[in-house]
Amino acid sequence: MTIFVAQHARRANPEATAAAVLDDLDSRVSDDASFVVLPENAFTTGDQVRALPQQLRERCLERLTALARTRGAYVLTGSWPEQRPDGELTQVARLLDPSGSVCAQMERPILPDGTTGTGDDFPVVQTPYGRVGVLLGPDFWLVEPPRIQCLAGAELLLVAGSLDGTQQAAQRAAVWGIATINTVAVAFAGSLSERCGGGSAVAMPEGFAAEAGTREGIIEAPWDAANIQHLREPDLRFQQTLWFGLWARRTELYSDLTAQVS
Amino acid sequence: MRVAVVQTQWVDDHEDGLRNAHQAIEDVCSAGDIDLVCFPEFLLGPPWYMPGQDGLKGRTDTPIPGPVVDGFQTLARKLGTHILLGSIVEDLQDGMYRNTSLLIGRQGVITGRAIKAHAFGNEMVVCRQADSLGVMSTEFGQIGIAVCSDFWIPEVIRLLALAGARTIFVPGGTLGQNQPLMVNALRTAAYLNDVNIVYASSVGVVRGKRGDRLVEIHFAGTSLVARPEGVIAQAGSDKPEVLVVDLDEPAPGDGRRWQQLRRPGAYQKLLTPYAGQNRDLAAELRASLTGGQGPHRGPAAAATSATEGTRP
Repeated sequence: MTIFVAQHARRANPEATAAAVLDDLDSRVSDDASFVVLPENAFTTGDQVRALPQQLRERCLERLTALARTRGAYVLTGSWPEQRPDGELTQVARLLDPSGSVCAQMERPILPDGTTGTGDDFPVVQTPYGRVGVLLGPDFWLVEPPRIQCLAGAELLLVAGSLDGTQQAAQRAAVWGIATINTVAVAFAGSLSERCGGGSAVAMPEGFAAEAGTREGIIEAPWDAANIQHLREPDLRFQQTLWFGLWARRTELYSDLTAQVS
Repeated sequence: MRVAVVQTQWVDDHEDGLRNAHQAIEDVCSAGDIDLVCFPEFLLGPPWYMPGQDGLKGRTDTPIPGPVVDGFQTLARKLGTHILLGSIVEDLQDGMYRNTSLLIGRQGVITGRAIKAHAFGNEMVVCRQADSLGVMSTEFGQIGIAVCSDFWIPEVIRLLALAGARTIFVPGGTLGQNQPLMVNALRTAAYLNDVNIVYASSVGVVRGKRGDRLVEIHFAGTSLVARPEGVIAQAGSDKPEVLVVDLDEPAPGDGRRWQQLRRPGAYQKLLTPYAGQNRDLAAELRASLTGGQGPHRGPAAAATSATEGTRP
């Protein structure tokens, strides 16, 4: 079982970017794939906020659906802007199951500065390869959404993300750090653009299993949910201690995290 | 704020440990204006409830107030510095204990107290835990203290940061096998929450029996100071050391930008337990302390010697 994560530079237009990304996925993703992850703004720059043209959108979704079916993999499509009936632009990401059906969909508002907003739903999907949480955009960089998914049992977080902060070395390291403090695996996809510094990676609690850095391409890492399940099982000999952060919680102390005004 | 992080070494005689702590304060303050001296957890030495440490009962634990704390208060007053006693095992005089961190002000008065809220190992059986988490107002602004394993519950640093703490002190102890991931986890917590993190750890080995097994607990130092952008000072792993750093409140960075996007109404599930939680660990530990055998995970450790951790 293998996780594949795509990281590509933006071309002159979404059509060219989509062609580069999808061709690369077709040639690189093997039948061993269990998960394929694309980034936030998978084919758009994120700088020009307009909907992905419908024809291109349908073509991208069609090819990603075919990828899911032919490889028997779950594919997080990454996100792109779509126009809602009321005219509002929304970032949409879909998780396709191996039959090509959408098994989770995330929608997030596009903020006035063109960046993606946060949301209220943090889906966790049971798969034959373990329980996975799906995240889009900045929800990943908040402490709470990944935590909620891990508390619900997610063993792997699939992140359609962007490394778009102002402290990118720290942000890159935080992909692993978030895996550690939640005892979870993270498959983070980011893109390369003026604003986004790549950072695609597969991180386990103990360290990075694969890192793209700022290189274009598709990275891969082996996946076995049993590794996370093992780390989460309490070891009262305390030779292994990463289970503690999930088991020792005292929920009565955390109500301020849900207070409307923090 | 000029902070001195004192990485201590546990010694066989706890009286020497106390003298060493006093000496470290005198030394670092004589070398320059230190606003705050920060010690690790269990600065007096290992607690009696660690494996093989029963003989330390009544030695490395102490009532608060009491002569041990009085001595540090006198030093703080004499040197005009704050002292953060990373933690002391507080004897509650009723058969129970607390893992207590104290902040002593320049005038020698105890100005802050943080009690470990998430008990680790045998603390689940013999210690009372904090019933709240809060920040402290100081002349340096709001600060927080997360006592050792409290750090490993990410909700704690988050709560302290949202309550206004811009520097969070983490008195702890580093396990050798966790060293790299611990450094990165501290750095990540600083970044995501836009805070400084001051981490103080001890160096040393504790040996003793748990049941019929000889265990060793290796503490690997690695005290550090992290700002949101990264680690700015880090000690080694095998000897006493002092880090001196000047810390300003971090300017608003990525963490605070994202915090503005929080949707707390959607986070109610933080108030529910982990879905996989299906064992009563305190009961298992209680059974093991009284000679029963709790369930073990994984292959059996070597019969005569094993390395055992005490905290994440």
